[in-house]
Amino acid sequence: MTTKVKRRTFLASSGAFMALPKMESLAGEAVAQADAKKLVYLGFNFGCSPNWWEDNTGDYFYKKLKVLKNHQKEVSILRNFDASSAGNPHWGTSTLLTCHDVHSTPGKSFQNAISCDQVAARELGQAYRYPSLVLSSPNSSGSGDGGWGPGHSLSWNERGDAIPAMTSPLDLYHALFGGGKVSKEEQVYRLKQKRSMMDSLVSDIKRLNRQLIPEDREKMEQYTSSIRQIELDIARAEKWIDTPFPKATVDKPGPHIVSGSPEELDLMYSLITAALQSGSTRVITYRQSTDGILRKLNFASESHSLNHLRGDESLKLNDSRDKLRLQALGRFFDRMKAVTEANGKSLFDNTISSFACNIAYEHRIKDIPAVVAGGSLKHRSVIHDKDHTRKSADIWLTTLQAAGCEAESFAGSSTVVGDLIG
Amino acid sequence: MMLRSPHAIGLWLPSLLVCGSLFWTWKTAASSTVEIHPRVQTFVGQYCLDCHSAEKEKGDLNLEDLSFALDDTSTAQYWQDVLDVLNLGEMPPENKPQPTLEEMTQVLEDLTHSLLDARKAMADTGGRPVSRRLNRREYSRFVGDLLGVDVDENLLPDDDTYEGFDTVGASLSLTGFHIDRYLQTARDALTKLQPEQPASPIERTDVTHRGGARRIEEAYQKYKQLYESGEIAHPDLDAETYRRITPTNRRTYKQHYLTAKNLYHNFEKFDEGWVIIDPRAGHSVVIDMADKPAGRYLLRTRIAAAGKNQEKGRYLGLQRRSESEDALNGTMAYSHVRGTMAAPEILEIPIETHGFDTNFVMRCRQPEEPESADFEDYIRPFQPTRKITWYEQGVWVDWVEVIGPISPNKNRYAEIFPQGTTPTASEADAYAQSILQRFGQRAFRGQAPDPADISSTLQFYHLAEENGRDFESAVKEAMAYMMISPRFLYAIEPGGEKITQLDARGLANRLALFLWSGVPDAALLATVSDRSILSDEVLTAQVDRMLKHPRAEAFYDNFMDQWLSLHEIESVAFPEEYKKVTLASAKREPVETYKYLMRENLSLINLIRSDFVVVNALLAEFYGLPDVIGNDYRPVPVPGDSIRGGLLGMTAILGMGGDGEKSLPIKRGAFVAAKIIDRHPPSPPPNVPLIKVDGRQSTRALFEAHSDKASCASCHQRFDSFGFALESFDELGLWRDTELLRWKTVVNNDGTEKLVKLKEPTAVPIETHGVLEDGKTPFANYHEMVELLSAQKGDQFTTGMVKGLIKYGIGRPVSFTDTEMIEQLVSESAQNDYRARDLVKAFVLSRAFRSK
Repeated sequence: MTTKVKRRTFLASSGAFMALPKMESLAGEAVAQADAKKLVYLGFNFGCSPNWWEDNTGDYFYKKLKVLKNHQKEVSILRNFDASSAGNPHWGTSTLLTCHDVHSTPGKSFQNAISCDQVAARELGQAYRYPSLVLSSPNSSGSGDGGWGPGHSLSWNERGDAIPAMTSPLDLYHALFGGGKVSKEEQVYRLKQKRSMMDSLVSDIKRLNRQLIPEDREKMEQYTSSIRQIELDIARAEKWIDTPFPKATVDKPGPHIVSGSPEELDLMYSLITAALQSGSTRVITYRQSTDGILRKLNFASESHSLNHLRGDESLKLNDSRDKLRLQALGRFFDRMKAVTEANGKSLFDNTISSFACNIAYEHRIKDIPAVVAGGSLKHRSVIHDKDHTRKSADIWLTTLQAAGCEAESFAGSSTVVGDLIG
Repeated sequence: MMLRSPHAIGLWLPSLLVCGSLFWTWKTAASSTVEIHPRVQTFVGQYCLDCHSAEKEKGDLNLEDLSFALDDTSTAQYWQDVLDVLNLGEMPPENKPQPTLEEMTQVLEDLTHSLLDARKAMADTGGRPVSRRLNRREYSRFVGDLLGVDVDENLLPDDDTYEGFDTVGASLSLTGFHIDRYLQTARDALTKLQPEQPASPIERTDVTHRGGARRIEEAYQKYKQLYESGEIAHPDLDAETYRRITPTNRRTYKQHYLTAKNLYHNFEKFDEGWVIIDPRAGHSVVIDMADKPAGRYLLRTRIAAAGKNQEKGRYLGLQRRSESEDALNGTMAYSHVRGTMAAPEILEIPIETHGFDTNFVMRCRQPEEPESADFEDYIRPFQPTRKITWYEQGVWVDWVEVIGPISPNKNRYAEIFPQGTTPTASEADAYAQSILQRFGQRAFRGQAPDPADISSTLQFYHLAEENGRDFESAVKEAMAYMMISPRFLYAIEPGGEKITQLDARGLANRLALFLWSGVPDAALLATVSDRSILSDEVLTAQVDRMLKHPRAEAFYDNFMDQWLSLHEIESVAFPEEYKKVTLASAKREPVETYKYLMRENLSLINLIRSDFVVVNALLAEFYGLPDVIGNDYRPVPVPGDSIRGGLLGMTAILGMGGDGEKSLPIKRGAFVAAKIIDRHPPSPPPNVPLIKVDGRQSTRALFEAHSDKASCASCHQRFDSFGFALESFDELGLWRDTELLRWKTVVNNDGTEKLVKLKEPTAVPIETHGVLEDGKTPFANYHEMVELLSAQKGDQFTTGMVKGLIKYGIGRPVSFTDTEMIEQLVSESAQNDYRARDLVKAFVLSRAFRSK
């Protein structure tokens, strides 16, 4: 084992991140926490309007993306990146952050791999109340893949299993600011009980395994690793039980939010801002729907058919949808800019945000729409190498390294987008 | 089927002719390695090797040394790249010899299917199912069976599906999040495990206070005077407030008057109850459910058809309203009202709430209601010449009772705690242990828990006691733990190194999961203890018995729903009227039809073409079939030339093949290919641009562009025709002879074109002719197509269904090793007129179902 790994293990298991700064001044602690780059990955469904790409002059901000003009100097549009063989013309986000060919595992009809946010959560997130927050709009179509493809969020664990998302803004609010009426004694008891449960289950499985065929043992391994996951959660919860929740900085969300509406996006963005601001987590993924936006535009059909509609009217609808989506993104950036952190920088500059979809438009999966913003990276409005298609995994590797991960490669990529960190 | 040796291109030539007549089915018979189709090999030699040879390796691609045997993922990926480049038309380059459109189409089709087969072969598990986690509906059912309570499954995460099925072990993953939610669900269910409560008092709501003849007369006189006097001030408002009201709102006072007038003139005088006429006239009865816990209820109401035409009956609609934006919000369920004012009836309607429903609204729907009926129609009864119309017909409601919540399960509290819940201190531990021992045996599907299991379970009881819990809650904590243990959470089937026959218990558990989505009952367990279930006779008898049991609804509902992807209908944006009135019944039709075929053991071909439909009154009305009364689904004969009878004439299936506004022939064609002839079209190739549209074209002309491009034609030529024939049905599945064109092309000043929506759509006749997937057998229209499919495609259809049964019933993907079994089941079924129940029985008797 290398010393690197050892140090990391130590950090993860002892909560050193919390302990270390105590030796310094409180202010130092806050500065260290602000300096630690945060990561926000946003993914959406059904791609963009073909107009996203139309303008090859590089003058995006004055034409197609003028809604983001205020942020022009702190945003990069990445061109000519895609997941190539790990893409699917009907999946907006299944492999967005994994860049994995799900059909490449013999004996499996679908096998995904770890997503970059979970790499970051494992390495950077352990000292936080939540190593990562996994969020999604609810699937309002009531069926199908909602334009996202298989999975429950943008996030996949190290076994390549889909991580279920928190879909209710109210649940997220409670996760961030507490609000349960459970006494501390009760919480301690519950944790103790859960810990024994996990211990017992592991020994149950050992007994059970003797009767099982190898394929089943693999299933049981999945069970065991889920239990390990819960054990980690318990350990973290125990550590945090004495730390009061931060004071709420946003209003408690009401119950009736339309999935994928501008209202939902704004609400989730404000909660995401609060989560980062309060130091509850360092890594967030949010899988967005656009159904609500389309309803707002009086488009009554299922969202998928917009990708197949043709003619000026549908192009206009596509453009309007993109505009509303980007306006909400712009408001998110504004919100983060309004928060000044202990290191004197804005939350926006302390956070690397990305916004992408693995579908470009129609069935096209080349040159995907991708935006990276903030994080004090070297932004240059558009990064476009017309001659060389690059792997989208390069983008994710760049965000990981820029946030301080020691990962040298991710999903087969070991090349960073030099322009961003150059 | 052919035998061949791999890598020997020369040997292919003689068999090429044979291959030509088979399409899509070409694959290796004996092994699971897929070989690139020989036609592709020939094509590569002819058009690619000049540049992409070992010698030249243009673009770093050497096709000469690339294996034709697709036995590893990197080779398959190389060929996938070749396919992508061909699909995009990037190769061969323009300055090189070009293949003809037919050659290109053929090679794309062959390569696409070779790669699909290879992907399947590489994912093949050799026909061995993996022990699987119970999916959310099974888990809640198991817990419900075990405790005898209703379980709320809303906390449980959605399940991953495999080809639409939620039962395939390999796809049902598990994370810490799942375990948390399963635990919480088990705990919530345990809080419902309570001593038998005395039945909650029935709340009867009299509707009287809302109406009565006297009040109608008063209202009529009052509003009449106000309305006719011209200078009306609203009786309930002061003059100042009234002035501030906009004229639009004032109109509603006119409505008050007209409503009262209508009621006064056209309906019987009644002293009790109220008449619901139409939602647009603001008539409804609201049943408040906001304070009721989630669960099943029985709604009883004294009710009658009122006004004119009482003998025709009425439809009483029950609209669910909830505060959340969930899919059920606003859905309507209809009941047929047959009582008259002279003889009102008491109607019982089961309803289910999910905790967040605020109320149910009773509405009336008239037979022959005009689609565009609005307020202005409402005024017309007062015109001198008129026929009887909808506004003169209503539903009279006297009172409403809400009974419940009703649990279909018998609460097992007394059984689980046979000696109560207050044992003496010295007896408590032993009592707890015996409770858990018994509970464990049931939870673990009849297998006695290991002593070690019991002792680990008991610690939660002790831990809870130490933390001040009483005996009952302490035992429940231990029970909750048992319900997330792998022995409960997984359908575990012990097995050996090789595939072996399931033992009696394993077989019973698999059968109960298959047909009931639940646990074996006492009768089934009896066949386990004497091992008689292992004999064909007893097993067959059990299948018959279980299929007749009400629990088998789980099979009919879920198998049909998942096999046909019926849930997709939820995402279609139908017009409100259809959504509220027809949709719920429409969705039931395929399920009820299959249920009827199963019950009567009729031919499955009836699902392609039959001389009857299985409908309720509402659907019969939608289809224009006379004399069907009531809410029950029943077979109704249709004439030989009817457009109904079979899946392809069902409004649900046709509606799913549309977006609510227009029909989508490609989607419909793909449905026929996938479900009727078991030829699932591959997903579209990435990056190939969609067809460019000329807005003046008919749908057919538009999609015929598919055949001009090899990358489209390679798949679409096999199924677009089916969709064209189904164009005779509109987006709701109603017959039409013409199609409306809504767009035209306008040339801009700068010469560019744009599409403009026409103010008045033009009607063009629909062209319905086409060919079967062989590209040859012609049909002129929908009727001929359905005749051909039902006469020729029974085997394919049944094959598709057997594959569905394998996925749903055994919980694994279809394997290459299943080929022989499927062929045998299908050929036996063919000799037996494809009888529905016999097929399920033969499937259960098959080796595949009985082994692990």
